[in-house]
Amino acid sequence: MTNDTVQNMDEPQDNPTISNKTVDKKLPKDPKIIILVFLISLIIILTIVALIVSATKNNRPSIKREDPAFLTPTTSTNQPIPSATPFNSQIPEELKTQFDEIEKEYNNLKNLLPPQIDTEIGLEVK
Amino acid sequence: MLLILIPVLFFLLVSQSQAQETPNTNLFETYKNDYLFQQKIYQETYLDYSKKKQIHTQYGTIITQKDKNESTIKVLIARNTMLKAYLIAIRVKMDQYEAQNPTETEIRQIELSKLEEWLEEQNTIISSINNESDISQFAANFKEKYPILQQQIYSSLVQDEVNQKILILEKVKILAENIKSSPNIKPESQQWFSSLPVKSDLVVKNLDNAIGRTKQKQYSSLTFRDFYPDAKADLNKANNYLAEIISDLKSIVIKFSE
Repeated sequence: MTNDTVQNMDEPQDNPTISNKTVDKKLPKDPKIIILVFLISLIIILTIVALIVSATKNNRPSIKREDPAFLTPTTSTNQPIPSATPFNSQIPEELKTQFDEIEKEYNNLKNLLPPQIDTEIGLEVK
Repeated sequence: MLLILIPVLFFLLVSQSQAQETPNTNLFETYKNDYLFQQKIYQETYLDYSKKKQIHTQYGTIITQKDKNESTIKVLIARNTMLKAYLIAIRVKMDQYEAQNPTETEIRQIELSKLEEWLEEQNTIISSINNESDISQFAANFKEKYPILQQQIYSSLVQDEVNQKILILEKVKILAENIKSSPNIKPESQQWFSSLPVKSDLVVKNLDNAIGRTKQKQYSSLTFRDFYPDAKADLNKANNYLAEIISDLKSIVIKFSE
């Protein structure tokens, strides 16, 4: 009798054909844990996306209400006021107030167009 | 505690900002909301009228005829009430810029008031009508009068917008004078004001053109000659010149401020 160790092919842990079973054991089988893991990863992804979006937004040049681009009226036929958007701060304070007042008035038009009505109501007589 | 404080602060801020608006603006908003409410009622009654009319066309019985007449009367009353609410809203709105052209504005407002009274009177008449022939006669009268109503409505809208542009132009002229005399602006700026009177005249010319279109003769009372798109084009031109003037003044201030 020899004492040499011999691989027993019937032993499940040594059988190469069922080696996947060991891997499966490492994965959590409880659905609650799976959902939890999924939710945590979703939160992490959303946080990262939110950070990226807010960082991009902060880097974009901001548009102020007093910019001349806002002076354009609602109808597309009107031209926007060209000029000097970033230089508004160079306007002396006493004149800036007047400019603001005029621009506010310029944008203040509230047109209330007449209603569409049917003038044929009641006219039909056979 | 915080949950109670936040709504209270919000309410205070809102009420403060509302208090800053002029009473006329508030009045206009009130009448505008009333008009929008009446418009909704008109749309609802119109749907009911269309349905009843269709049923009567399909079945043609005495009952469907009665239903149709009732719904016709309802929708005619709703139409007049809505138009009256609209006329009140634009008449009140005209108060805001009345000072720029008091005589013409007042004439428009009087004409609108007359039409409001006429619509009120029409509603009294329609309430006492109960047969199809009288309804038809009533509807024909309205159709004949409606072009006059349209003429007054669009003329008032044009007048109101002209008044607003005149106010802006007056303010722009005052601003130009202030820039010229400002110690913070270099004296070399004076020659840059040369285009201002030209553009100012163009604003006035376009506003006059717009007003002129509202006064053109109506050759037939049965059709409305729609002058509003042309008048609106004139107003837009005036608006563009105003924008250019404001922009020019801004450029002068930026270029020559010390």
